[in-house]
Amino acid sequence: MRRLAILGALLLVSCREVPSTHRDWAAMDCNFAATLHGEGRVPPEAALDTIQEWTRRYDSLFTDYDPHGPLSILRGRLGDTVRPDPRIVAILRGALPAMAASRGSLDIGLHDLKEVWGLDAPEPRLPDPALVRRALRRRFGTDSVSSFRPPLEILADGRVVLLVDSLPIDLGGIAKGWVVDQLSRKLVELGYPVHLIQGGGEIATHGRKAKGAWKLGVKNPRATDQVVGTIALESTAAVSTSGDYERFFVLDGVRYHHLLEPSTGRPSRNGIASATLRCATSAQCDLWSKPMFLLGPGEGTRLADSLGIDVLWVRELPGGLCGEQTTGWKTILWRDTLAACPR
Amino acid sequence: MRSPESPLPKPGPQVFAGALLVASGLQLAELLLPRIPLLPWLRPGFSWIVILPFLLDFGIGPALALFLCRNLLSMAYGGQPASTFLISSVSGAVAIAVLGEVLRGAQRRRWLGRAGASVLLAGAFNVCQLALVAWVLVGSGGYFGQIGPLLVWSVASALVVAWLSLPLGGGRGWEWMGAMVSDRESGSLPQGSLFRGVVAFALMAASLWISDLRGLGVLCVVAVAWGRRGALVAIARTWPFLPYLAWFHLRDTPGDLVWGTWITRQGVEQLSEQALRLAAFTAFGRILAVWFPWRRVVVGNAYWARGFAMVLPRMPHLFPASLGAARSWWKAGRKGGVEGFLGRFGRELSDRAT
Amino acid sequence: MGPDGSDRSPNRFLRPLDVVIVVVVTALGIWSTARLFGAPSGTRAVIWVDGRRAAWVPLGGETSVDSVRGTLGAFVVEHGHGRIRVLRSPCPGKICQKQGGVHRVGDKLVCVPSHVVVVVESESGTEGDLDAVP
Repeated sequence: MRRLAILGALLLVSCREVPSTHRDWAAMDCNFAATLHGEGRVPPEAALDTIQEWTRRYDSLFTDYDPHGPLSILRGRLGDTVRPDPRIVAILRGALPAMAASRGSLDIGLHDLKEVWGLDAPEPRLPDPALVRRALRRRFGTDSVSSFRPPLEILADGRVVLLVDSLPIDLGGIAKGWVVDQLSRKLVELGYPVHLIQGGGEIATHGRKAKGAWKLGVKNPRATDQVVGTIALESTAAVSTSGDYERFFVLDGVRYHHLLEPSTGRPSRNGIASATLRCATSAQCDLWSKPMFLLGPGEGTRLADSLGIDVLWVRELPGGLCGEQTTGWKTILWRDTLAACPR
Repeated sequence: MRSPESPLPKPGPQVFAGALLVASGLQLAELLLPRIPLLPWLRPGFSWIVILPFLLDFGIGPALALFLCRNLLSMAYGGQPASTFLISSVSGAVAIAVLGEVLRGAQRRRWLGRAGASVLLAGAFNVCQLALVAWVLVGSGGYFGQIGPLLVWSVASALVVAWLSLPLGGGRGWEWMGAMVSDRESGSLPQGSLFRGVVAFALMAASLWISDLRGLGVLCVVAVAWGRRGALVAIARTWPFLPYLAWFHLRDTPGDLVWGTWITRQGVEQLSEQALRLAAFTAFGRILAVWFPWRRVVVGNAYWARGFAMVLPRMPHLFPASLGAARSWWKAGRKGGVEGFLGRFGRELSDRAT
Repeated sequence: MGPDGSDRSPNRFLRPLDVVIVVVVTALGIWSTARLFGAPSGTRAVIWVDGRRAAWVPLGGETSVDSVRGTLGAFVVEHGHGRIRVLRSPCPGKICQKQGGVHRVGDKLVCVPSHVVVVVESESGTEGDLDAVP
């Protein structure tokens, strides 16, 4: 029975080094990055070329800077029925329920309001309050918004009815997540089930790495070269962060950031510096990261539980940063240096 | 006396049964010993007193069969959970399979004595279990911090086991182990159908895995309906195991208290589960012993199947027989030493098995 | 101690190679144990259930109690003052409970039937690069 001695090979687990390929590129107004593990049906460089090309096409599809682009069809007269690109409709179908459930914290009709705040301008300054009120009126019909109003309605056959007059629709806050999901699906088709894709603040992991879990860092909102925590994802998941440090300016000691509250037309001032989410898909993460930031842990925790996502809020207190999290966050937390916020 | 150089033939069913009985008995007795604080997962491994010389004399196949049958019995009679059983079985099988030939060859060439063989086998077995727990439970390496105390303990316990195992092996000891299991039951076994034998074995194995009380209850009812009086008598004979299981499961099982300050509902549930499991296992074992189609088994050597079936009806007598043997041995002034005790144990066992 | 009493008995207890084996394995064991005692104290413990991280608890601060769901039911640990121990386990053998408190990095409390492992870790571990930062 000497051949049974080959069973000794059971004890020898061979750890082969799995090659990985990485690429960074710019698209859709942000940085994209992808890491592929292993070797698939096409060479990794070819797979990366494919998804890079896809982001370029999505860029021209979803951009709200082109007054004649595919998105501009949604800017029309009140009551118009239009037939936009089916991919735009797919994103809208996901966005509308989230807008309702977040009671308006998520809103795709704030393009004009964002322009009023001009965060991308070289010399940012506080906008004229009258301009803010006008932008709100154009969006909601009034400048004191008390409840959610959808900007459009989607019909069963994919046509869209516009419910606001001449409102530019802005998918910038929600398209990247959807795109990342599409790229991830494509990579699996190309034979790369183990990969990580990052599009701006949206990260999607897929599959299980040979050497343990995917490790992602949670940025320190006040020192963005450092992390306040690390999370470990076992396999397929999506993570997203919204923070007040991404686009902002400080005037007279007050931070004005890009996450505008639709009800007031101004950046939120609830003390939350960032909200990091873990969801099942990147589209879901992208939809909910801004609402979770605006809603804060109070209302956000309940919503998060009902959606099945986990959230970490980093709050800025006079003494420093502290964290609040949903109960499920503990299961993915690998290491953190955040103190818990006092109740 | 045959010379040590010539290879021994495969063991007969009686030898296998006797070895299995002693190995299982030692395993169960060991579970009664108190645990070492700080390192409570370490056990002396006394059943290797039988398994090691068995491996050296008869080879990997028979030793594997003996080891796995011992594990099955301790799962049923000792109340071990299925996961412990699996990890122990896989580790032991790997250790025996990998080291078996090496140890036998080294012993044949006089390179290795019983002590070295025992230490190597114990070390391999324990390291394997450690590796499996690390791989299966934790999912990553780096668990081997425990390996230090484990190795030291392996050496100490292996040396004790080696010393106690000296009367066995090298061709010696197996005849009187076989004599412990009387010939009476094996000779006149009727021929059952292969189908019924397979069903009985499947149900017997199922009783080890099912933990639902209703499921186990159903199995018991089926077993008693099939085996009738024989099954009921076999179940009744396992009564000595009941206080053993009660002691094992009732003390400090956490949960809601139902009586006094130490019996909890969860403890009673666990005890009930284990008692039902034991009843079902014993009853099916009795049915199997009667129905197993000896002549139809085409699995190479059926010595292990027959031996296992011979052990099943004798398992309930383990505790009373060993207690009786210990009493009479002590009264006789420990005459004959360890072999004297084992001889009395064998006689008590034969007497009770009729 | 064979039947013929000669040195050629196969049942010889100790031969030269055995002594070597015993010495080597014992030395290995003592060396590994010493390394175990050299490990620093941990600051938190991670509880794994069925191969997945279920929770982590800090070891510092006041003594407090946490419970996770193992495969057999509620598994309760008590942690604080730098140590952690199993307070109540639903398994029959209670081996993990008898182990008492642990506090060093790498120390483990294992309950095989419940599929639960408690591992002590430290904050400052070199766990390698981050894959990404969202």
